[in-house]
Amino acid sequence: MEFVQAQLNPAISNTENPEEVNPILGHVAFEETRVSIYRA
Amino acid sequence: MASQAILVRPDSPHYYPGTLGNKPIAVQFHSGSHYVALRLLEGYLPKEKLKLVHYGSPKFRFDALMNGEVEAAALMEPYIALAEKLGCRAVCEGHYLGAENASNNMDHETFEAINRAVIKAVDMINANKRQYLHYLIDEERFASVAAKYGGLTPEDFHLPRLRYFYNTPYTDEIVEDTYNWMLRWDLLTDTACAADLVDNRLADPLPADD
Repeated sequence: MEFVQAQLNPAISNTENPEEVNPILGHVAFEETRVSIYRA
Repeated sequence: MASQAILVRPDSPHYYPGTLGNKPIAVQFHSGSHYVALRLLEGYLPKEKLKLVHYGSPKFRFDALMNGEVEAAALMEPYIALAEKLGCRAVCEGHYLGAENASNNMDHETFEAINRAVIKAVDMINANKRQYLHYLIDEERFASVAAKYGGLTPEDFHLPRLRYFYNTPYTDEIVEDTYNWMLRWDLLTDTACAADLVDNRLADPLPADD
């Protein structure tokens, strides 16, 4: 079993619009199928 | 369980959420800090007065709070303990369910083994929470923040805030209530349905001593 540390979100301009932020940014390793499970 | 508090600086004029209308509050959109902030603040302020600003990961939200870029920030542990040690105060706080999210390619045996490990960990941590706080304090990203602001020790934590219990499936009622809440805040398309969002097939309760 291997643990993969979540990546910090890349620098994003501070925004008040949620639609400008990708919802999966905090789960990149999961979305890229490098891990099969993550805790949120 | 996870917990997020909306914190203000020691010199802040804000003592409860009702005065934070139109004041910038740092969150990470589409994550716990975003959703908890909405759930907490909607009881005090009309939607049009909520000024949530995306600052990303907690270290950026913490810095934005401390350097005065925002009036308040939604933070979880161990950032809450560090903020309170520095004299910041929580104007409100909410607990919420965390969960393991597994992909379709995870087999049943592996998922059950992970759940058994989680159950064992819950028992061990609840028996002596302070013994395990070094995992929070020494985490690489937080450690750099703590060092910048004077450090943090296990004695600085309010232990009842840290809540651990066995994983259980989401009930249909919880899923439906959450689904409707997300629709109301435009966080979910109404073409989704509960069956698309939650799969409880692998989430049968497990005995603690299995």
